Amino acid sequence: MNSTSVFPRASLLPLIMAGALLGIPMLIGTGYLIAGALGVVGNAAPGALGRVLGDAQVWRSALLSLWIAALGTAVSLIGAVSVALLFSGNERVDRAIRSIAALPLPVPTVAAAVAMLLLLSQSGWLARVASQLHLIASPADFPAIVNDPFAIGLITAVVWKEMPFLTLVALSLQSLRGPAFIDAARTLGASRIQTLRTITLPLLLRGMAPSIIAVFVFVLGSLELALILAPSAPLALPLLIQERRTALDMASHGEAYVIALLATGLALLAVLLHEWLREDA
Amino acid sequence: MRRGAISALLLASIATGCTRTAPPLSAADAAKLPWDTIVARARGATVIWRMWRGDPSINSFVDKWVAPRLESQYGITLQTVAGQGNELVDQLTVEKEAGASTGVASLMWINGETFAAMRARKLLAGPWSNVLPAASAVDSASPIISRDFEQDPAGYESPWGTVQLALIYDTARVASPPRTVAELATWIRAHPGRFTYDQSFAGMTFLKGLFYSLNGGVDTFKGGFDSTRYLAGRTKLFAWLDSIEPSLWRKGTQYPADVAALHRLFANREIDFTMSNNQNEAVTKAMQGVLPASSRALVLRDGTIANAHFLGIPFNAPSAAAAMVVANFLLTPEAQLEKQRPTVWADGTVLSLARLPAQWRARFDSVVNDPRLVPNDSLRRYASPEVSPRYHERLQDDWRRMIR
Repeated sequence: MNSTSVFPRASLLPLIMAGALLGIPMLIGTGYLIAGALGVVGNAAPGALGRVLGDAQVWRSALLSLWIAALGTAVSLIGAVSVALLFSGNERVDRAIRSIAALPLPVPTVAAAVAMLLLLSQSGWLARVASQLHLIASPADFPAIVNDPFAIGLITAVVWKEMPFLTLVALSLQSLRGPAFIDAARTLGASRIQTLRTITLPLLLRGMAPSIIAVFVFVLGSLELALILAPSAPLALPLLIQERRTALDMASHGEAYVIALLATGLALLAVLLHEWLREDA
Repeated sequence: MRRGAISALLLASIATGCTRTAPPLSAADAAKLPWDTIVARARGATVIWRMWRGDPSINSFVDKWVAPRLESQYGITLQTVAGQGNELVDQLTVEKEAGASTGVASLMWINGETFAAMRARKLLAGPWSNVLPAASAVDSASPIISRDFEQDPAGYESPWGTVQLALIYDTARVASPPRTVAELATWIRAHPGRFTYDQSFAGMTFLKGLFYSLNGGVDTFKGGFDSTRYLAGRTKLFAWLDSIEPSLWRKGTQYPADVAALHRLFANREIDFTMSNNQNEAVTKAMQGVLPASSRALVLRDGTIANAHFLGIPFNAPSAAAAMVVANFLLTPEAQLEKQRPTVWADGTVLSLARLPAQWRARFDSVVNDPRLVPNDSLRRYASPEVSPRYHERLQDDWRRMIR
């Protein structure tokens, strides 16, 4: 930073434009949600806020969605970091991994969900193979990991979609600033494990933090995978919002707004946590 | 330069403002005109039809058979947009609140609770459906067609098809299927994990059929919603469901999201029964390869729910006259017959065959005499009409809260 003012005139306009571009839709959206929750717009009956806060089904849904987002993000992250640590350095391997990791990115989410269904359901490919190999007596004995209460199939699909993205981020970070710091540490006598623990990992995780939060927030609110792979009880938050929003009983439409606000709040908390950790570091 | 752009914008907004000042002809006003005038007014119009787009065979009938004929016979362009039920109620409510006198959709596929909600909020145009020339052949004596969940359509919607709930089984797997509710319960308990129902329309209609059967038949619930009768009925239904729940697929902890998911479980042999709101789907879906070729439908002797589906015109339809022409076209024997073919959709006709010329009667008979279909007389014998939509609403809500 060699500019004398924090906001030089030239950079003020783009800043305002970016703020308007990002902020105005966000404000309108949140404003509409709040108005809907209070029953000012839409068909909401009053008292939606109280009904939602006292509704155990909503909290079970929130827990399920947090579980899916947290576990999905964590497994993707561990996978991505492992790949980056194990295989970066060799340029040819690096390039091969990047190409492989880029493959799932353009696959539509719904297609990924259906593929998981064909693979993992109790009549799916794995179940049939296991039955053919006499590991189980019939395909139906295959464990229920699609539409299951722990959302294993859904989390698997999340990892399949999100791990490649995080891997690409991790590989880029590694190639950008990995070697110089590591060489310095090793020269100064740090062991391989010490270097990993004190330099490589913290650098990598800090660089990846915005992407990690983005994945978490995206998974928390994403509907497509949940539509096909999620359990029916409890419902994932996006499905619960949709169900209340299209319920026959109009009184529950306002609840959809309140639950959407709750989901927005959870996502916002994740972002705030990120900011707080960043300042702390 | 900038001033030029601003005045262009202003001009554009004035121009669009002007086009909005002449409100389109409403369905109620159009209905007062002679039919020839309505057809003439409809020429060149585009009808946006909000409909359920979940079934490829229905989509194909509408897009590839109906639309080209409307274009060539009436000069009407038909465009379909997905949307059904409360989504439509919601959208029209917002349009009404915002004072949008000209909306987007001119035709909607609705029935039952959607019709009730739209009528209550004055979102439907009408009356118009009684002036359609083709409506004269509608089977108005049938309680299933002349009433929509006990409501009088009163000219605010036009019927275009009937369906009846049926269970579907695979003759290769289940040799002698249960024929009554009591036999069904015995079968489910004897075959744990092999039966379930979906949590969407078909499953809820199945539950409503059980609800009638376990409480002395549909007559118990006729004549509007009654909270006391509902609660007594619910107790019996939920006790029955509790008694079979441990024997359901996934022990009743999970339910398939919709009928498509149920069909998939059945086709993949995870369960031995599926069901459909359309009694003919065992045949049509088998032809498409979605269900096994040995699939057959059955109707429980305690009665299964039959209902009609309808077309409505929104209060702010931009092309109401053309929408009426479309609704009329769909009531012609030609369209009704095509729609009923098992290779097309196999949707039941709303026409009274007795009111049709002899050659049309023969053609309809040849379509429904497929030996794989449930015979028409058994369908009629076991058909139960719908009751007040409030029963459906309450049952769905309570099932979600108490059973799922």
